[in-house]
Amino acid sequence: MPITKWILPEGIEDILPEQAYWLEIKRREVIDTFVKFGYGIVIPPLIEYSDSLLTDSSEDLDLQTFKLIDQDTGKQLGLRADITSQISRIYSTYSDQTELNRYCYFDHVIRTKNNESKKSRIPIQAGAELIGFSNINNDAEVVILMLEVLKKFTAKKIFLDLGHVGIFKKLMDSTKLDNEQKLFIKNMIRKKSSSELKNYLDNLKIDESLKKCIGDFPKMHGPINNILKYSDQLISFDKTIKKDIDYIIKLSNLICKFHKDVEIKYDFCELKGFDYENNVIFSAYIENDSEEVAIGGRYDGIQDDVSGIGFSIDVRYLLKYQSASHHSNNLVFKSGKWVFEDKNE
Amino acid sequence: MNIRDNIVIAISKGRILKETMEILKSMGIETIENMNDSRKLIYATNNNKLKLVIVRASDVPTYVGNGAADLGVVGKDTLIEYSANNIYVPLDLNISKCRMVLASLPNCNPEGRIKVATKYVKCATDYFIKKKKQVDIIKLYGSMELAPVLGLADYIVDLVDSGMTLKANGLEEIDSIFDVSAQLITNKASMKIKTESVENIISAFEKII
Repeated sequence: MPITKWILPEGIEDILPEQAYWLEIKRREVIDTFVKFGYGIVIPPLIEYSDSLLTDSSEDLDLQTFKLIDQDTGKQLGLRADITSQISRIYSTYSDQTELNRYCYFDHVIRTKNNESKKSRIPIQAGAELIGFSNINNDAEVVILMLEVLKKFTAKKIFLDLGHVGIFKKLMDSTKLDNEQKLFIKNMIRKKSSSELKNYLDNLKIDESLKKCIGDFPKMHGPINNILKYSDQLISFDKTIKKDIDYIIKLSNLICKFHKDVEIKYDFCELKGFDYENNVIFSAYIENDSEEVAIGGRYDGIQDDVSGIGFSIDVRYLLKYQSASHHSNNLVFKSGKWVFEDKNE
Repeated sequence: MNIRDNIVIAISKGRILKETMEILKSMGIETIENMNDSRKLIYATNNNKLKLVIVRASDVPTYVGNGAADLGVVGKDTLIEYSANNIYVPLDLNISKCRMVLASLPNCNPEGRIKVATKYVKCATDYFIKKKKQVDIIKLYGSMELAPVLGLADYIVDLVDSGMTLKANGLEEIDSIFDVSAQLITNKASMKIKTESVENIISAFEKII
């Protein structure tokens, strides 16, 4: 067989025994943590009708989903690129929707493109979703759980980034800009492109104070003091923004009680993910790492008007922390067998 | 000390490097070694927490996006070609200015499908989509001006500073697509984790320009 037949496609890779065993141990620890928090594990199918997997609002998710045709029905199937919409489907299909429900998963997703950082196209996601009407304590619970799970993989310092998509949406709603203009502004804010946004705003005929507020938006990130200095400016356009800012401050106080060692920062410019989040969003970073390792947020109405909050962690990416972990059950290959490493040797 | 404990700025070689070094000098930052006498690609500075790395223009967003550098200085043309979401672009440095243009031989009136030679495939594709024209893009890596002269393409999309090279090869500018200048970019995670250091550098640049 020519050697090229053995080459795996870009972004597709094997996990060999040293890492696979470590991952399996971590999987058990993570699922035990989920269960301890009251979350029930589900294993949704890897493939289902693409209509069910894709939400109207997310072009990114559509692009990332592999699609094929069901030979029996001629309908389009999709290989899931994300598990959140499947959890919403499970909730609307099997649950009594009058009360909250908690689901978790630890499974593969498949993506058409590995992102700019050449990450895997077959991430393994550990995630949890709390679905149904909920309050700030439930939101805090989900973020606390995410940090708890991350700490299973690394002892390094974790940075939590908190944002609120609703603040940008409300500011845009208070303008008379058309959708194309709003999209351009959104893209500039996502890139924190102060200069380009300023040039664009200079040519727009809108109220000067609104122009200033939109122009300042790319700077609305960092420690809490930096955020608070813009709050009056934002509130002058929509009084309900005060509630949103107070909400994330209260949320961070609740999280702090459980994870004092985590450094919390704020970012109103993060308008990310697969676009279905429209309220509180959050992400986590690990010291000296150049990638976002976990993302989550609150969403409303993605499947049959299901609302919830959830997160996902790319566990395959965290395999890089395996060598730094001092687990007592490390596997090594000796004389044709995989055996536990003897620490005394 | 690991280099990742420092703040690393990736700067593209050539004109951008020269003009960025002038800004850094105004900020009080200079390399310990003279860049002109060295073939090094990484330089320590008089700020012991700041290192400079010198790379090809098209590699700057890759270094910064993947976190090998915290910040970078690169032309807008390169950023548009890179088109990734893993960097922030907080500041237009307004240096190394030029323009992306469409050019051709005089009286160019091609029949059938138009052929366009360029190094900037995404810029050219986006431009012709906006113009609602079907074109074939021919990727070249340099000396674009030759393509219309030798019949390889009807048009070129290329960067122009004074326009002398176009003129010298008998080409004329048909349309100015967008203005180009050097941009300060940052890695997303660096902005979140090393917030204060990264913000201080952005503010220092902002004060000078």
